[in-house]
Amino acid sequence: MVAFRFHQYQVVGRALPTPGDEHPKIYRMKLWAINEVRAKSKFWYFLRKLKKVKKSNGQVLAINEIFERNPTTIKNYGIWLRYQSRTGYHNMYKEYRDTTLNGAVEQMYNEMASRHRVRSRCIQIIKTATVHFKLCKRDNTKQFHNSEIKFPLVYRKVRPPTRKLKTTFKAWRPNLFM
Amino acid sequence: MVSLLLIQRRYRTRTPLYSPLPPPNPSFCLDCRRASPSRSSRFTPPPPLASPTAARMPFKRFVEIGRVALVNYGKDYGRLVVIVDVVDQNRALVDAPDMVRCQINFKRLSLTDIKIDIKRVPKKTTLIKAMEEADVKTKWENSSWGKKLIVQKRRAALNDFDRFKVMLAKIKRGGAIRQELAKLKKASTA
Repeated sequence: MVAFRFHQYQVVGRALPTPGDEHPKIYRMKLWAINEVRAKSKFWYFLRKLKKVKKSNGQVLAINEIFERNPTTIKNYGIWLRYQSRTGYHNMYKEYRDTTLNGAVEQMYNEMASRHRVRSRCIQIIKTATVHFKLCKRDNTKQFHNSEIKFPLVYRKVRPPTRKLKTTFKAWRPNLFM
Repeated sequence: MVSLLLIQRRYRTRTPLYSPLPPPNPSFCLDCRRASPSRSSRFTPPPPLASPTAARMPFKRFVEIGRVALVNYGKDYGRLVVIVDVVDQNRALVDAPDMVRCQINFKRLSLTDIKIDIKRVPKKTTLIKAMEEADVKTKWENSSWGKKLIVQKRRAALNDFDRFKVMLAKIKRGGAIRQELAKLKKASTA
């Protein structure tokens, strides 16, 4: 599997204990980030918006990367996101078919960048879930819910098996038929 | 110039991707029925509509569950794998007896003619049994594509002495061919 750009982390943190509050409440967040440092930073960003705690008066108790439990089965992932466009904030629900949640999230970031010109820093993932195939909304994912799926590969661009064997010119026209 | 004309001719005579609807059956045409009352007693069912599964499509190899494919790019280059499920338009879930099930892009696969009978995402043991029943290995090794790959591997694995032996064998074979050719020439002129 190609290395994922976005990793899923579980960050657990709380406010620092003060004489007024000996055992502050512990909060846990699951979020996507490129590395652990950015995950912790995102954790404080979101927690600041939800609770009266900042990085300066809080502590991260644990940060663990979450890996896919079954990377060999195909699942339908639904991703709820909030993104900032040139004119304001919008919510979106997108569906992806993939074997891993990290793969689906990476697909989402790529698709948002290409279709809506939204950079990854302007996207907040609200929620992700594995959607049962009966509850999928998008036709694009539903068309693959077919146990007897069958289609031809129409445009076959033959390429050399390694980049080293690539040549600029070829003596024959390509045969694009399978 | 000439090649362009040939290509144009080939494109013009190529069969359409989706063949047109079959001509209307006269027994279903009301005017025809009125005109020939004797035909109305015979009921002929309408001809089947051209569907993608009909043999009219020019495609012979399809992406389907159980299709055997060859990996033609990347880390698993040269491996025969079975398409076990389809992720989406570009990727398939692929499995082989000696590797972990993984997803792979269709661009890295070359579909073969071999297809085995499996359900969607079978267990590894089920897959191995199905591959054995369909006898994928011998079918592949007996196909011209498979034979070519075996020869390529053999040639790549020759050492210097083997190449020397091949050279001698080629000279011998060329000599034998030229002798026969000379005999035929003599027979044709004489």
